[in-house]
Amino acid sequence: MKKSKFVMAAAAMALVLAAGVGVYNTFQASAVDGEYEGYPAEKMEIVKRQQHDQMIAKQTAKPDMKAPGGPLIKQEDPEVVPGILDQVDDPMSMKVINYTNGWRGKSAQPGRAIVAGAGALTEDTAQGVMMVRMPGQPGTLNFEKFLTPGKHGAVTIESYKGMDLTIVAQDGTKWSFNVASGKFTDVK
Amino acid sequence: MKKKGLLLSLGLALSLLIPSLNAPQQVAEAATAPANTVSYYMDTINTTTLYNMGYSLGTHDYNTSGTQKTLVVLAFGGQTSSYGGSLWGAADASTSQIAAAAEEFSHGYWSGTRSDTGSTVKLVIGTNNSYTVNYTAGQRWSQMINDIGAYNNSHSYSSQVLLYGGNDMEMSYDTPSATRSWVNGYASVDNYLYYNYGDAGGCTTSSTFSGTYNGSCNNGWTMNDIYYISWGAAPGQSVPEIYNTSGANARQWKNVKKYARVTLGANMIISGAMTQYGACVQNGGCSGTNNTPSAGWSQLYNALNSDADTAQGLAFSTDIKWH
Repeated sequence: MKKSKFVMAAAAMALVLAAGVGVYNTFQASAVDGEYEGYPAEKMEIVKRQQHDQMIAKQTAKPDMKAPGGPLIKQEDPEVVPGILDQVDDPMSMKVINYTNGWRGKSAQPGRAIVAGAGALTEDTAQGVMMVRMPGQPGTLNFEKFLTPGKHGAVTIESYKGMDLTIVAQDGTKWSFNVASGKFTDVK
Repeated sequence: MKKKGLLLSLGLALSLLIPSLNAPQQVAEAATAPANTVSYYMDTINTTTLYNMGYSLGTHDYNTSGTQKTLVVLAFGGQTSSYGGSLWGAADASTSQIAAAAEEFSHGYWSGTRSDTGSTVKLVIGTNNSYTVNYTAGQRWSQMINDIGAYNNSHSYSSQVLLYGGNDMEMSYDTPSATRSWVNGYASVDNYLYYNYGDAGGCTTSSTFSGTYNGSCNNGWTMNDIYYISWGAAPGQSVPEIYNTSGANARQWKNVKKYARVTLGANMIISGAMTQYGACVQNGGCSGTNNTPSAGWSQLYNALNSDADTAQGLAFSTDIKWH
């Protein structure tokens, strides 16, 4: 009898253990989903919140809601206001050009800007440079770098009229730079 | 006899279940680069454009057999003084304008997937650390992400669009102190994780780095700073730039992870690799920094898995270009 009770108790304990492990594994499979293995608790707290929102959204979504119909929110691009920029945001060239300032102007495409950046090459700071980023065909952008005639230091945009920028180098040399053609003209 | 049989069965069940408790947390996946997605430097917040971009991706996933799980970054430029995005000089956009753009990308993706209700996109709405970089800027970006998330929840888009903040945090753009402040601001109101898709410029590229010290990187940054913004902070994750064709970027990130493991005892997980091949083609070339998506992913994967301390799988590959 005693032996029988022991066996039953052991079996019950084993069942409890097995159930516990099963719950643990279920949690691992559903909440962690492989991708989040090794994520600490503070990140998992955010992940679980997002997964909860995802589940609710799945439950409330109806197939007919997916009908293509274009945006619900109508928003056009802000009008491009030409002007001199204090900073140039250029992820492609910021490691090869030290920008001093920039300029933006209107392009032929509504809402899309032409951006010019002025500065010097990082590897040759005496060499002034102008970078021009211009929308091409819809969905494309054209980039071009124009080195100043001679090495007079970094250039800065002083003023502009239309697409002609007046730029001045560190040593005082001035040019007019045409954004469309990329040509430098001496300014006396 | 029956009891013995029951015990044997229970023992067998336990022996099958218990080893999974001790399984390694990180198992390296097969070294084949996943199909890359295209991420974008965004110079527009036109909602028709954004809807169409999302719809196109959703349609692609619908037409691709199986369930797709991808990651796309929309990078809206540095934060202006009013905490919106510069749109790379095109025109300043407010946080509410960026939010509307992101919501319509989400709407488009969700609609485009049609009857495919299993595919998901991780949508990363990104800025960078080159303009306004401080605690308030991080907090405002995080709040904007929360607002997008609430909208997506109320329109069911979040069933398939998984939202994240993002920041291209680069050593040369701003100081570690300012960038840490941005991260702390983001974390102060975070409902969503963020991805750092920046660099580890100037960190050692040595393949024998021991990880026993906090190595210096460019512009006053250290490995500890990069670890903090990419994983140490609660909402931080990373899909780092692996641009350099020599493999230097991959080794730098492997070494940041090595430092985290050896010195801090932290298992920093890197989610994927970002390349800029598409932007380089548009830019007329970028000498030495134009890894293809598969090359960038493979360099990072191989660097990480060359060392037991840093071994891990690598889920995502994305290549950025100008919209």
